[in-house]
Amino acid sequence: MRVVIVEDQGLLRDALAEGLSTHQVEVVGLARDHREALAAIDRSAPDVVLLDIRLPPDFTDEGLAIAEEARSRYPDVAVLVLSQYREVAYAERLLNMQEHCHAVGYLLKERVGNLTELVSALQRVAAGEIVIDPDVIAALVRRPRVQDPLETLTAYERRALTLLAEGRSNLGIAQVLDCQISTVEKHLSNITKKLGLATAGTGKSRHVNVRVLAALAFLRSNPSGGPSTSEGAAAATDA
Amino acid sequence: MITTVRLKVRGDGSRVARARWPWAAAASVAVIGIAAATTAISYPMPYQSPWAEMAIRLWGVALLIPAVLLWLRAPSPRPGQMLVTIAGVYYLQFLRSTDHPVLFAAGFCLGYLWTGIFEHMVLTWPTGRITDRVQRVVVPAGYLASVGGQVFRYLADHPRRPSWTFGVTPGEPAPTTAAYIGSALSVAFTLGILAIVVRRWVTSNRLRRRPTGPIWVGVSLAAVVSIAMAVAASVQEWRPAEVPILLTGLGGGLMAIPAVYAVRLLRNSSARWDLATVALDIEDAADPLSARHGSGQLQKALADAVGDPSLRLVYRLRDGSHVDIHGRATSPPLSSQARAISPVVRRGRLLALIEHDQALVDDRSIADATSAAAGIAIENAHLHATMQAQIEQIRASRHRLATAALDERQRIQRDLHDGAQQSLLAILVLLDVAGHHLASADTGQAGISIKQAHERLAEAISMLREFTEKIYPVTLIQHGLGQAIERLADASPIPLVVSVAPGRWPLPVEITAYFVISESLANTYKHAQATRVAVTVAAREDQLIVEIDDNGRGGARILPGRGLAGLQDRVAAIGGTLRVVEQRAGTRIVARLPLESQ
Repeated sequence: MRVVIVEDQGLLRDALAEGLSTHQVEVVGLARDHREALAAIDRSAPDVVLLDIRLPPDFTDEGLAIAEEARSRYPDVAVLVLSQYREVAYAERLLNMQEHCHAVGYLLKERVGNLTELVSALQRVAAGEIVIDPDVIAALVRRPRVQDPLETLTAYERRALTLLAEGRSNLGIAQVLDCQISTVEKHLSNITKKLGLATAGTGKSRHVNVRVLAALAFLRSNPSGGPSTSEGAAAATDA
Repeated sequence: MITTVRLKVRGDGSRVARARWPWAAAASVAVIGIAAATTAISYPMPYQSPWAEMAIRLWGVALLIPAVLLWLRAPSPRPGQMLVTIAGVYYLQFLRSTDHPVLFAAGFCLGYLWTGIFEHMVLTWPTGRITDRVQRVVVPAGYLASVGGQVFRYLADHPRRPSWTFGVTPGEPAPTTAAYIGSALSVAFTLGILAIVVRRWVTSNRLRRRPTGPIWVGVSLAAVVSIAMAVAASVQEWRPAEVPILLTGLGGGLMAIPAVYAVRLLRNSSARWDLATVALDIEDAADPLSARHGSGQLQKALADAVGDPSLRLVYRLRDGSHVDIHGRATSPPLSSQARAISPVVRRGRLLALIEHDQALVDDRSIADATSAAAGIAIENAHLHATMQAQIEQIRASRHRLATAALDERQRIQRDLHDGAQQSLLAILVLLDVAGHHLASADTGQAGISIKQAHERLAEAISMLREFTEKIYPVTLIQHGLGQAIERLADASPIPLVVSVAPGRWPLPVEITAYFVISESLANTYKHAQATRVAVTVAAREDQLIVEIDDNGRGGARILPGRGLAGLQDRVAAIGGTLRVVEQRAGTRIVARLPLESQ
């Protein structure tokens, strides 16, 4: 697996390069910013680009811009983005880069502390899968809700939904849960019925981004379940 | 500007004068007619020097001048009318020098009628109205004594004509009993009226004394002279030469009252002029660049102008609060038995309230003149006070913001120290331990220590991440308010229902809105015991309306030094408002943030 690392902090960049090399990952290029990154990608044609989101000159979301540019040049290159902050919006931007976006990943930057996990994520995106950081999904699932619809799910279904939101394919979910794909499909069909997630059942990996986005949107939406919001909204509207 | 003020004041006075003067002029013509007619009939008096006689005969006409002035200019025309009447009636006594029996009888009987009118005027000063019981008794009694006494003498003594030169006729027979009685009555009455005037003077306060002051002086003088005359006439131990002296004293004394008052009226005009000048001074003083700025001169000038040192000038702001000239909050003026309040209204707006002695209410002309002359100055002072009040508010809010910034820094320092720094120290120790194990070739123990260090470091890093996320949500700038509030839902211990209008707004507005929401939520989590909370952000053409509505126990208040007050300062800093809406259950906080910077 050929990887280009885009990271402005020299110490971390070198450590990553060294660490990944010990895990059968071939680091074919190192870059510090947008220009260097695209030059490295052009030069070395990597399988995966591992990117920090915050890069010079503004340290905001330059990494996402590089990902978009790289993908427009090489539609098959996989992208794994590392983020300092837990921002679902970044993940959603990645997943919306293309109509049937695949081979993208969004991880919290602290994952570099566990190279095994990081390499596993690199392998998944390189294989065309979607990877969303489990912490990001866990926080969404954990959110308190009024008349929580997730409470209608069984523990198994909840786990399946979480894995789905993390970007796993049906096969991936089956592997993690150690069960048959048909069992996973049954669970997902139940979840679809219970939550009204229209696309959750779609099994093909190239449409995984659609169902991940749907799951994220569902988890982020906070159905009010009570009159409080409408009252508040009405008051704000009247004012 | 001064000219305008002065003309306005004069304009008010002359409107009254214009309405009164035809009557006053007609009455004056009548008085002069009476003076001319009586003089033509009775001139010359026997046994009298021409000079003394001229002085005596001119007194009534001379009295006409202050009398007409009073009629035209005083708040009530009655004292002036009475004085004009006195001037006319005064001449009836000269008829005693005629040979005509009927005219002589009229002159003899009505010769002292004018003293009755005079007593009437003195007792009812300055309104000319009979209001109390003492007046109701004493005023008719005065008329009865002045006319009745003479009628009695006429009937009892059958005086010869022409018998009269001010009661002192050389070679006259000794005064009759009736004359003694008349003199005694006159002395008694004069003393009685003097007593009433003195009592009124003593019992009234300083402000009320002022209009009666000249009366007191004049009446005392006149009373002393007339008592002297009555006594002298009775004992008949004076020489003819002393008569003019006493008469001049009496005339001067009686004349003193209207004369002093007339001078006062004239001085009032100039006092108004002074006031107008003071008003301009005050305008200068209200200039923030002026050295005299803020010395409360206007209040002092008004107090001086109306003679009430206790006068208080309180400015009313648009929000209904009351401040002094420095913009400091002050107690609203209170009306009571002793204190009255005059509103100062300019262009239909209540600018200020003048709290003053109740006595000034009777002195309308001065109070009105004060308002008219000082109106512009008060308007300026009001502006100044309003500005000062705003500066005061801004100063206080800046101070609170500065304090809040320091508090925030201290909190960040404490969190970093207690969290990340302690973890890093622990990792330092763990790695040192691992190093020692490696040195002693105990790789197993070294591995355990390294693993622990690794775990602690991962913890420290995620702690640091959460901590920095809390300080400032990066997503607020990149993805806007909706995403930033979305993040708050992750950290919310209770269901947080978010409804944010799509769109981006000026960054200061978004940041302020974010802090209003995050702080209000923190309050809700801490105090409200709510089971759900809703955040609504609605966009209007010119403002963003942010609402945080929980179903907790309510009772949130904006108290100084509390979280909500800090929020209020933040909101005020961008020209918005924050309020807590009372509702049956829970707390609703509504912030309105203007989208256009003010």
